[in-house]
Amino acid sequence: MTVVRQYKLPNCTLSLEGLSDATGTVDSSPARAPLTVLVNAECRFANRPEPLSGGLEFFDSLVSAVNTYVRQWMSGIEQPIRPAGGQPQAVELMAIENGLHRLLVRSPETAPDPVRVDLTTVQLFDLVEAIDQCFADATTLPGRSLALSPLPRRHARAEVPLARRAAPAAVGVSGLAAAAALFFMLPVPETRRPAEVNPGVSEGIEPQVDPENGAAAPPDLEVETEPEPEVEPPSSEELAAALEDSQEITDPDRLAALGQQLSEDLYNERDEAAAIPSPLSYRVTVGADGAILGYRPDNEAARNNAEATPLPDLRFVPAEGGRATTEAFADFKVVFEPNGAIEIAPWHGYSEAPSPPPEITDSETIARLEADLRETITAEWTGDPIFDRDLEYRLGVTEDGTIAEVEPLSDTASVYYGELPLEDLHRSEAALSREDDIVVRVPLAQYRVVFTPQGYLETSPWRGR
Amino acid sequence: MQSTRPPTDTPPAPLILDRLPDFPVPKGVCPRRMRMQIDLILLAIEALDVTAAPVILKFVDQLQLQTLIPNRVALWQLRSTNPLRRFSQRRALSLEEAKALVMLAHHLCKRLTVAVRQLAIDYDRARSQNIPLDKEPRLAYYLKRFRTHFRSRMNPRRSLTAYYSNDEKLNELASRLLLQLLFCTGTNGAQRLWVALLDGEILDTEIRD
Repeated sequence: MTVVRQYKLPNCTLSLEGLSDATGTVDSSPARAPLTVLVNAECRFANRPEPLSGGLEFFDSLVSAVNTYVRQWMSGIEQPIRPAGGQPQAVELMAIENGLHRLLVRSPETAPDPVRVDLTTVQLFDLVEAIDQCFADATTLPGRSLALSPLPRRHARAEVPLARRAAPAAVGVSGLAAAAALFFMLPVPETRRPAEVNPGVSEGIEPQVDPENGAAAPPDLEVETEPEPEVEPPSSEELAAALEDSQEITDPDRLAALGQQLSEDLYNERDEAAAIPSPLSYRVTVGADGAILGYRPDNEAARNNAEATPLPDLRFVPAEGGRATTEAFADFKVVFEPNGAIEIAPWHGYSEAPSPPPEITDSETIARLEADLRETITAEWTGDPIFDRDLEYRLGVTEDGTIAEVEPLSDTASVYYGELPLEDLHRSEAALSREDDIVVRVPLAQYRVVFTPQGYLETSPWRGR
Repeated sequence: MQSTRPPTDTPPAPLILDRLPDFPVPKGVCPRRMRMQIDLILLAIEALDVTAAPVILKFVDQLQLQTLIPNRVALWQLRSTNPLRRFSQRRALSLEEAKALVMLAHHLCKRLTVAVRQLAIDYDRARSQNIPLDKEPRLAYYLKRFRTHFRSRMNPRRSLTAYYSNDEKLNELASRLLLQLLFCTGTNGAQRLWVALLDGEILDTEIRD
């Protein structure tokens, strides 16, 4: 018996016509009889009078093209378009300019020119939904499933440069950017894409700033084809030789400022997800301006796991290669703890205790900054606290009102830190400045700030009024 | 449904998660890109729907995900495995936890089907007629809310976040997320999101080297 099934969405109607192998089924009324043999599939778009249609091969090819394309489009990861020399698929989908999606359907009747349908994203979604409803329907082609599955790593990695050239899709843009950073150094393989595919889009993203390492990708491809000479960071021996003539910084205040700068850099650049199996200890040499000149592992674990730390990325290599020259330097012991903490202390300790951080003591300034501080925090705090007890912090504020230091005064305060506007307002880099390429600490006014579960904000100068 | 399972140390995963297939992922935990994307998807939902926060917890109950997400703080901690977060959690996101977040995203999206679809239509129109996205009032409102959410929750000192300090770049991200939400509203929305999140991240099971 002939059975017809229709899946109707605002922009797309999918009709399947087939036969029912009713033998053995208890309920054989036409409405419930399973469509087991597909004879004809028809796909009609609202803005296009003539439908696309074909037999089982067309239907299978349509489903497979849609599944692959939608997955790629959502993830931003592309896979090879098709093996070189392989037969073109009966149905293909590709991204074109203006955020449209091009559906190409080949059949013996249409050969050699495929039928072309350009879809908006909403139209594409309706096609996907019609397919999904069809597969969710147990009485249509029972025993078949969508079999959605991701692309294995191996394929994805090989294709990243290609993906980078195409329109970055969906959230994949961030993943792509990260991957682009990895692949930027590799020669870009020759990849051929059909000429009509998004000519404008690739232009748009090519010269983008590579967000993972902040380096601007050269807009000029000529530069890319000429392999850059490998810049070797200085070995520890070279570094030791270079430092022999230099002067080690021993002034406790300068050491404190450099330690703070180092901590700032390491915390900002670490990868929170990197696994640190056991404490990794390094001797890190920094210049007077805070740049990391080199580092040496100080234990076995550190030797094997440097990649888990931001040190390799942060090591300063002069643009012209070779090694950094410096007149003054300081050594620090840096320990990366498995719990994510980073311990930093001068390698030779402090000759005497560094003076306390410079402080703003003028009472008028303190009062003015407190008023500003209340205003800034209140403007950003939307209330609706999710904590159930008072959260207390010490804040250090620069003369221009920037919150440069935040110290939670309890465990609870540190747990909920991220839910408060403090984190948004906190600019730890403001606690340091560079004068003549020397890192110095900036004077701060200190306050005690309390956030209450009722949504109130209490502030007071740290040393009382 | 009443459960008569004896109490065990590790409660079995909620049944609803079986709808999302298992794939071999290195070390069995969610890769960085995935943690980032799940959280951004939820952020886009929050930008669309002011009531999303309480509704998420309602869905946690409805979908019986309490063993994985017992309360609001636990939810926040899972989302904070996004390395871009200001207070990023240094903990792994298990595949079961990720599945729970994906199911939540799917149900939240379904609830917003009409709004998401309307915005996607606005977006398609703006793109095809080369109208700046900000000129579509509904879209502009969503984009603005997304930018605010993104900037208040993500760590501006991460270089990727710094990349999005440009409004236009952030609008682009918000628009792509919006279109992803459209696909999440579908019959197979959860599965399609799940597969896209794992795309390019799974181990090759046939060839081992």
